[in-house]
Amino acid sequence: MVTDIKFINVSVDYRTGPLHSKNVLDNISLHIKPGTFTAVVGHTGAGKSSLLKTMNGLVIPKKGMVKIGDYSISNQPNQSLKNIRKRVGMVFQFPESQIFAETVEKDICFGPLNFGISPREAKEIARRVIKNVGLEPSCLHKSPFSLSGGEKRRVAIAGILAMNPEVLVLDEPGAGLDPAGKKEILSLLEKWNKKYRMTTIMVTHEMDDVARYADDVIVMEKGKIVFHGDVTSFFSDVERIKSWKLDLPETLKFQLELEQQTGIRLPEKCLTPEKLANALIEVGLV
Amino acid sequence: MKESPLPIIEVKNLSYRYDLRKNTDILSSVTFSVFKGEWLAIVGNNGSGKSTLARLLAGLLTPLEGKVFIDGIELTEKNKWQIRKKIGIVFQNPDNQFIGTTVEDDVAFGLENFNIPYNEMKQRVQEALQMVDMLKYRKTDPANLSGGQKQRVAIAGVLAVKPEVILLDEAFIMLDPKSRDDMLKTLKTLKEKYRLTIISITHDMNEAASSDRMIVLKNGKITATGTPGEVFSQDPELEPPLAEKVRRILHNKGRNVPDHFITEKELISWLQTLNS
Repeated sequence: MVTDIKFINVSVDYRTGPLHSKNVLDNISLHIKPGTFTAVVGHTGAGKSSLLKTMNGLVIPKKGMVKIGDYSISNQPNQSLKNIRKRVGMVFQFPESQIFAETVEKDICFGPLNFGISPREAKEIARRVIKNVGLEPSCLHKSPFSLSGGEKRRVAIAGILAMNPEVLVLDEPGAGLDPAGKKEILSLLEKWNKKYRMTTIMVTHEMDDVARYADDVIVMEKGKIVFHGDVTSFFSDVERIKSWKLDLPETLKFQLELEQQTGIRLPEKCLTPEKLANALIEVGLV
Repeated sequence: MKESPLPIIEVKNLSYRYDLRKNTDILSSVTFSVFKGEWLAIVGNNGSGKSTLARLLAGLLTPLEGKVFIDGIELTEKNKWQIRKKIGIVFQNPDNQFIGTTVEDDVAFGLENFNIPYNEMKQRVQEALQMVDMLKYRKTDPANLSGGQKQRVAIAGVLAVKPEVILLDEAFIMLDPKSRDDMLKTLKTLKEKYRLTIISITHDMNEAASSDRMIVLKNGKITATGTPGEVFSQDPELEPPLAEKVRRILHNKGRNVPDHFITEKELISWLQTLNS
């Protein structure tokens, strides 16, 4: 099942008392195509995490409607969010801090059991997803707290995959990991996205990860979406990226420095070292 | 860079184990020297023993075996308070080491512990804040500063004690790329000006590539040491900085490129000569 996400004129605020706060999401309309890998970028406080939470029903829109495939969330009493939460798996920032059970297996089974799956079936799922995140089934009986930081994060993500979501929503999944650990996790996400066409939405600050993994980019500023398009068109206008106060990928930064210092012009914006090397060959330099 | 004959830090056969019931050392027989005025980068994956090494160097942990000499004196339980005047640590998250209610109080804390006379203390705090360009914030509550500013204050707190060695334990990991670059530039300038020795534990390969010397730790052992050029050429598992990556790709495509490690600056000037 490949699922798309629609926002129709969605506004959200965190007003719980009499004080009026401004909208954290301000009249947002968007369509995330099924099976895409989308990166959400923007300054702190732009509304990135609120956008993710709205997709999972953790925050209810004040106005407008969110549609996850055939299911919708709007500002009505008594709506069932269970169908939404089953389909949208949410991985928070530093998800390893949510690990609580005494074994890896129990931790992974927690979600499926809550959704009414039998203990036997839940254990089978745990065996399957632990391999999916690149860990050995033997670690199912270990305490999660004896694992390294990167392994713990993979266990936490396995717990979400165990619910077999159609959409995976992640808030900075690579933050705080060493380069190798980060690469492993992001490559796994990329693999599931391509193999199972699992619609993936990831908040990140790292433009190199945007360049490397995402198909589409959403830029947020003060609760609004100021850009939604594919990666190539996103990186095509460097001045525009700077005006959003965003960083550039390392390779692109190097290319600009090179072009400025030498007067050499490369035919395209290079987002990976491979492309940069090819461009240098193409212009006949090396 | 000229190395003085006597190392400022000497580490001999250092071993450490958190759980004495197990046979796995987190550090096993690590030996190396650090020379005055050099920038030494220590790299390695999570769990390689980097942070344990930092704690041992600052006397926060006592070695199971082996010795640490700082400026020729062996670090012991008795003299660690004196030796800490010579070596200052900056941790990952500056929030974990703030105690003062204003920036200047915070920077003064280390000096108070060493019973520095009031007038000298005042002067040193001012100097240290000037070095990191934070003097105008001296009356500010550290809680109201940005991440980059906080880390500057933490570094000022270390500089005020006038240590010979500054140990950075992934001190820039919480900073955005721009603040990270600024911080590195500031420290490089201070290092040259005051002949500071800097040991930086880092995951950032670009930072490591700009150091004077590198050490690679793997499972508690040193697996490579040398200039960044030597280390990146020796260790195929170590992800090289961008310029070297590009050089290797071109090399693999059979193009005529320099046959040694290359920095961004060198790559640009090499391309420039090709272009002219």
